[in-house]
Amino acid sequence: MERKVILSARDVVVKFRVRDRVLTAIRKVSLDLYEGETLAIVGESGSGKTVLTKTFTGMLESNGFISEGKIFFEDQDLVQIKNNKTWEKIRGSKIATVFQDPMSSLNPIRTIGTQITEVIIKHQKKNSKEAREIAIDLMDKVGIPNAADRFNEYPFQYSGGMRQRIVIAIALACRPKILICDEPTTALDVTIQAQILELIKNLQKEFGFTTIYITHDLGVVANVAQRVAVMYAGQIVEYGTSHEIFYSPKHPYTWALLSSLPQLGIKGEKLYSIPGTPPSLFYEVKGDAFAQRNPYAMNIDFEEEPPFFMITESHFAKTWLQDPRAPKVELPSAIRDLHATIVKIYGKEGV
Amino acid sequence: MKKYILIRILRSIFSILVVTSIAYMLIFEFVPRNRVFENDGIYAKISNRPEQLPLYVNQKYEELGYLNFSAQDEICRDTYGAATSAYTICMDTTSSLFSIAQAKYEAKGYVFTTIELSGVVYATREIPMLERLWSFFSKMVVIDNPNVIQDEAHPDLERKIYIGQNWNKTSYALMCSGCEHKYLVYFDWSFPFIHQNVVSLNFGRSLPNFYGIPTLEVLTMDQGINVLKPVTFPSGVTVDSGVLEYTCSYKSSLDSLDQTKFTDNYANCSLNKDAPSMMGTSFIFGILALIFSYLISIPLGMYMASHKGRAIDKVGMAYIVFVIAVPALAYIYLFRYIGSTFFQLPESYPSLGPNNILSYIMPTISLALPSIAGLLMWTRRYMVDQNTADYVKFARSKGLSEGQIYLKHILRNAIIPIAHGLPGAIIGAIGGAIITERIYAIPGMGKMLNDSIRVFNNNMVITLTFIFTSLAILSVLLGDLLITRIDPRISLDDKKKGKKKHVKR
Repeated sequence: MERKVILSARDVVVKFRVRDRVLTAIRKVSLDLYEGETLAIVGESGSGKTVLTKTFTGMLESNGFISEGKIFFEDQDLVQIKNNKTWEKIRGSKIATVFQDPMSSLNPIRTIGTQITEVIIKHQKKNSKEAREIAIDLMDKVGIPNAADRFNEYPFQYSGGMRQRIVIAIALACRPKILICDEPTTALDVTIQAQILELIKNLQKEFGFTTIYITHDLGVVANVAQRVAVMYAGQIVEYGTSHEIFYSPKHPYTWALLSSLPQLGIKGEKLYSIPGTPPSLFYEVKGDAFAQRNPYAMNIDFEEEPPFFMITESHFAKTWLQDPRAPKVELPSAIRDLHATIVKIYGKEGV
Repeated sequence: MKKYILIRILRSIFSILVVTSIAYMLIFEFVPRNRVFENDGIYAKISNRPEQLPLYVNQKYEELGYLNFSAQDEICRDTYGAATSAYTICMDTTSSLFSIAQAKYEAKGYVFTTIELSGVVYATREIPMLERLWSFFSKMVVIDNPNVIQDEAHPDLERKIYIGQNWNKTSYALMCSGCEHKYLVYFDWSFPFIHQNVVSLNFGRSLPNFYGIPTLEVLTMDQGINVLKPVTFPSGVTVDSGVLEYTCSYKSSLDSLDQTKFTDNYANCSLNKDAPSMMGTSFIFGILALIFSYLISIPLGMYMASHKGRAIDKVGMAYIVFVIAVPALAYIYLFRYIGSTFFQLPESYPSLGPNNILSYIMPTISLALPSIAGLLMWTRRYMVDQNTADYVKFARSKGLSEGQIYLKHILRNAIIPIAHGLPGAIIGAIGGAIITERIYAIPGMGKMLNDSIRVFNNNMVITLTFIFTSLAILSVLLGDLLITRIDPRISLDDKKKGKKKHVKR
């Protein structure tokens, strides 16, 4: 487990100015990313998954800013980068991003070819002929048939899955160290989803980059991730290997999240959903942010923010339930035998 | 592609015909016909001669297509032939031969009227609207051919089409004898270099302003004062003249001056003048304003988009709101006042004339003001829209610089809708501007429309309606064709790959 940390975020706080108010989207998040691993960040909409990864590439919206913390990547603190020039050298060439919707990620009126080559020309200083060769090779790699013929076609001549392959090809064109996949399969249909995940997995083996998946699809997580970080209300509440998160989750929010997997629903019964809504991040959150919605909440949850408790060397949970003084609680029934259920559904070892 | 364009053109022509028909019917049905004479000098002159007035009035009505009109001599000539004894008898309204002729005419729907003072009889027949419309359109396209001129004074006029040379033998041309025009196809150094007189459009004659001149000629003939230079006429004499030989058309009787210069009857020529035609004037101002407004609003719109919410953006928005909210009449007067008071620019176009550059400044600015506002608003909007598009975010995440993103991604996409409007803007520029031309007294089509409506020059109104409609429809067509060149998603081919979209309107 002694692996090299490639990116390390320390106590990052991200705020947004929204009209005259300030919204704290990320509240003191620390995260280590190990070289070559696949990390999944899960959580419901608005939990800050995307905002967190945007700080790694300096792509926060113009009203957002990092007010505290440090992000170390290749011996520099990304928080200190103020000018676009420096960011341009990192984006695409060292940290690349694949966005959710391949339909709109590509410029509709420029050819697929130019959209791949422009990044190669920019970062690798190749001439257009060399770039073309590299691009066609890449298109081959991501599984575009007749790549040379399709080089000069436009995005509208590609299907959704093919476009996402192209987006991946562009992201990987300069052999980045980190690939951030922001819900890469949400907009695709299920059969294509599996292909795309498989593709990224294979390319990761070949290119050896580190992947961050942002998703709320726990099926994707089970499929690809080695480690999982669960985010809630701008904080990471639990992280560990995916085995740990799936089979011995410790945070009530993780329990709730897992319980609401549609795959675990029983025919004829209502699907589980987490009651209530996340707290407003315009105000300071007192205690545990999940306390209001947490059936296991204790008095201290409303008073004081829990620290991280170590469960194993790789598994941490930010909940008072892990405090030795806390009462023992039963896991919700739906996830108590998650392992057996998953085996039953998929007919094989899930994770 | 070809099929699509053909269908579009046919549809365009149909639309033009429909619009023109509607305008024609409205004007000729609802504008009281006698108001045509309100500004007619000849009518004023003979209005105190009641024995002639009905003849003149009905003759004009016939010219305008309201009715068929036959005076007594025409009725008799038509029935019995000219210079026969029967004709002479017929001219007596009490004769039986006249009664027979009258019965014939009445069978055709004519109504007979007797002018009490002179005892002269004439017949009129109201033409139904649809018949009028039909005759308007059937006479609209005129194709010149050697049988056009049927002149009793020259029954032995030669009828042929031949290749000949111009007066000073510098160029060849397709020429004609017996046609309306002497030169059918000719070449010269002015755009578009090959010119033709074969097919022309006829919208009737202008009345009462530009009395009796065909409406289209009023709009296209040069204005201003004659420009003279030595010209060697076909007879061999060299005189300082402004004559334009290629415009010469048939003239029935030559006067003594014509006879010294011309060797045939093609002596009705236009003159070279120092100011452009109405159409030309409108075009010059339109194009100047167009260039000016695009040069200002595209870069400014882009700048506003990239500085959204800052001071420059707010100033621009204030300008847009001002121009859109305040009536054009008001701010054009305001700007004219500023121009004349602080920059000593002329208040009207004729005061310094077409050959002084200062005449053009204020009208151009006034014309450009509203289009700058519109273009600014749309450019800014498109740019802002594109700026938040997913592929722009993705381009940014690829590590492209802001400049590259702006040029290669945002601008190219934002330019599509702007380009779509470009042919419309160019062609719209030809159409002239009614208010601006009026305020600065610019002799262009916009002012002409204004004047024509005021004096009930119905034919001219129809002509201008036709021109403006055609330009508008043509511009839509060109815009659609242009956009297929820029936007790869839009293709007019239907055979190639099924995925391509079709342009639909």
